[in-house]
Amino acid sequence: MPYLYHGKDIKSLEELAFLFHKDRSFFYRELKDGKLSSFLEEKDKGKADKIQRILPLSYPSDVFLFFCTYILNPHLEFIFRDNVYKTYAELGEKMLFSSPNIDALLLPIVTNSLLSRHMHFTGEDKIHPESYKRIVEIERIGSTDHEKAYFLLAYELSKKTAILYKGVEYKDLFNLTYYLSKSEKDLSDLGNYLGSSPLLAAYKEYSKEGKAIETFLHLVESLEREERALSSFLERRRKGDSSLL
Amino acid sequence: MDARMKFFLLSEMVGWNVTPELKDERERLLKSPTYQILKENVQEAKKHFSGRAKEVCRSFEKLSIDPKSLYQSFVLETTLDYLALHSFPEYYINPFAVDPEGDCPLDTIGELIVDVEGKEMSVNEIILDETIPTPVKKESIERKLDEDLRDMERIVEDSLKAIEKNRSINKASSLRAFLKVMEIVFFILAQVFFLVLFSVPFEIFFSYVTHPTWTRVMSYVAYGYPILLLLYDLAFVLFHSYHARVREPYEYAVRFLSRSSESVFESIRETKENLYDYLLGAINNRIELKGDIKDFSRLKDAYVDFRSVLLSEEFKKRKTYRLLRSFLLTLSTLMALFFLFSLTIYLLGLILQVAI
Repeated sequence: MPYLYHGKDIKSLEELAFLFHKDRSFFYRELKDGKLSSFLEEKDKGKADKIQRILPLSYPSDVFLFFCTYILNPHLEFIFRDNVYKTYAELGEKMLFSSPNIDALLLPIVTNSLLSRHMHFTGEDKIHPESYKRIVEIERIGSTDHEKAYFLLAYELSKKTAILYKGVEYKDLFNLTYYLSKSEKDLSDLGNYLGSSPLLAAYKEYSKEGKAIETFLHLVESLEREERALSSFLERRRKGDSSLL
Repeated sequence: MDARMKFFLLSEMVGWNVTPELKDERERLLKSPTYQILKENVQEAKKHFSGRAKEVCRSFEKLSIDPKSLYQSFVLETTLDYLALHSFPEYYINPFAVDPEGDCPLDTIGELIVDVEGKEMSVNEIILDETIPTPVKKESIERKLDEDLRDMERIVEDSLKAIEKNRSINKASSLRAFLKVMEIVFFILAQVFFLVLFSVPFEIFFSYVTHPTWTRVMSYVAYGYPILLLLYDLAFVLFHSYHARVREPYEYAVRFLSRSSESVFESIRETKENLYDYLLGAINNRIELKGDIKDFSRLKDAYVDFRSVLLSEEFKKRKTYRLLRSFLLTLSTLMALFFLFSLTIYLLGLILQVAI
């Protein structure tokens, strides 16, 4: 029996899967309420069972739909929310577009390891095992530092070596720092941001200035750590002295 | 550190010339509260024997606050923060090496800082903490005590080396030995000559003793020599008594350590076990420690004063020692000159039988 969607007969699971991203909230409800279960079981009981198994899990709606899409049709390009990415590079560039900020709508890709899952669904993990390994490694970093993992993934996928900052691409940090010194009013805020920037931490792995960036981040981190240790001790000592009075 | 400097540091690292930003760095670092804290704390740390105290003092002496780049400035400031923190006695006091007779800036072992799985806590905080498992507390305390024990063993080894070094210097310095012998010989000669002056029958000389004539040199010999000899003897006795008294702990330690160094090491290890048991008791019963900082000191005990061994040359800087030494040297010189003068006059008079 076909499935009717906006007056159109959907005959196959593949066709259905491609529709999910076009009407996300509708299909999310359809799946969660079990309204698609008889159609799915009729077409492919195995796939219907897989979807049943992930139904009770508390995935965010976009992540749930993502898994359902690839359970039903593992050959699709990377689709997340309402965007179709023809290549991984396109996804990487989209992720970098908001730099130095993180695109919160794309962050679930990192935090839910969706890219490695897609590679597994589509068989890319067997075709490009080294890339797959690197993606898995980045996603593992994401479990403790999702911001750094976001930018690592963006650079890994986009293959860019330039640094993107507020929509502008700079060949390297030499150019970026020049521009920033001319345009930014608050160099203190900028200094604080750069000292712990996940963008820089990720960029250093893809840039020819990687060593300089690593030294910079290490120096700032060491100084901040020692400053914190000293202030914390002085504060405890001061409290200790007060308590004796 | 001004956060703007982080931006300039990055600029420097990627190739920009940021020299104008450096111009006030030296002054900023020298006037910083961190440097002032460190400078003040090092004065106290110098009085202590623990390896950590010495390391802080050494590192402070080696500091050169003159950064030529922002990179160097950051490294310097990080070093200053680290040293300033570790210049507090909570970090460097070794309970085995506390001077039992001196002032200690801490009151209790409970104030000492211990690393507990990456977090720094005082011993009292560890004792009272209810979240850290007891095996973790024990392991952290034991690790700290092992470090302190090794430090104390180093102090003992340094004492042994100091003794060995002094022995070598004494053996090697034949000039020093010669001068020492000459000092004693002269002392004896001066006394003997005094006896000769007033016991050998020489009527001309005795007449100047009973009837001094100040136009005759012999009168000056008759009166001047005894007076000067008295002063010289006084200086000699005072100096050498003082010297013996301050050196006594050192000399005792030398004799003891030469014979029984192994028992000293064993005894220190035993003290460490006692301290560990003491702290374990406090941990198990959640008893905050108070007033016990000197209770486990081994720097100066019934057998050996390590402090005196390690500072064996320090007493020479004391005001009393310098004063007495100057007094003795001055009088020795005067005595030597007057001795030769008196001896010449006396012998001439005796041989020629004339009044000079």
